[in-house]
Amino acid sequence: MDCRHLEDVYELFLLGALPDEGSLELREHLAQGCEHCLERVKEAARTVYLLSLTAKPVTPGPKAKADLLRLLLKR
Amino acid sequence: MPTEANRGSSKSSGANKELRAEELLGRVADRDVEALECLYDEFAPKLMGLLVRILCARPDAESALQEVFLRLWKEAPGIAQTKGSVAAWLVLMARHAAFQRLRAQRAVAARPAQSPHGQARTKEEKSAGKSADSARKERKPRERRSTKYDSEILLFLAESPQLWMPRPEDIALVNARLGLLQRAFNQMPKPQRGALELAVFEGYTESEIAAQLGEPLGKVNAGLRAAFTFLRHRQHAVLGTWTADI
Repeated sequence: MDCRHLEDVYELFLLGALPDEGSLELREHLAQGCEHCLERVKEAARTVYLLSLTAKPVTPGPKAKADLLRLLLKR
Repeated sequence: MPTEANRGSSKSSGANKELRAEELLGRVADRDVEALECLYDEFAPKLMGLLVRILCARPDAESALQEVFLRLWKEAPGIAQTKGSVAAWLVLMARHAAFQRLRAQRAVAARPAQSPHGQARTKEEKSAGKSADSARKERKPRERRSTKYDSEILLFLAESPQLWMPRPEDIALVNARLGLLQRAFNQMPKPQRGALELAVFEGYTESEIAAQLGEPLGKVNAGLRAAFTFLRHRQHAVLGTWTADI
């Protein structure tokens, strides 16, 4: 399958910004194991990671961690 | 001013942190709570910054943060098997946890005061709507997106991490040069950066971004693709990973 038309949409796909049909086509293509696209989607994930970290870090309140640990110990 | 030696040390410290995170993930997969605590201490501020940027309200952000770490605890064995970057997994899962909440809030806020059954909204609904309204006054209302679509993206991320998780060493390289890479983002033309921010921090689709900006869809599509091509090329230049197909 010629996947050149998918080249520029991996980032939008991971951001959830593609319309349904574009997203479906990409998922089906990835499931077929196209090595080039699997490499590109990993690269796109790196870009989404990078963009997400442009937000300034915020320290969560101490109760947030305590609540999480309490829930984990309950399980 | 940082010396070359300092910069080298900072880079290797970033790489060590990322590689250490993978070791910690292995221990979390073996049900080690202390290892999860270490991952929390390392990543929670970054994730919380992202979640507050998306959700605005701290209680919502803390609740989403908790959800992400509970998911990490539950799914650690599968994630560890992929040998991918736990940092990237945390960031992408945090994004989708936040967008699920944001869409639910927007749906409540967009609902009329009376439910279709003629009943007043519940206390929780009012609270969620009020929180979204007051925290996000500058945001325009939008159509509710398909929850099927949202859950399909989440399923892809959650069920096929081996398909998309970057390698830890690649994320370590990004972390080591984060400042330079983020400068590239700031160098983008303002309209492109604005459209990108709507996708990254507001969870809008391309057509919703076009509606928000009052621009033709084709122009927004082209602008977003150009923005990602620009970022991709800058990453290859900064990270020294140019390949023949670029």
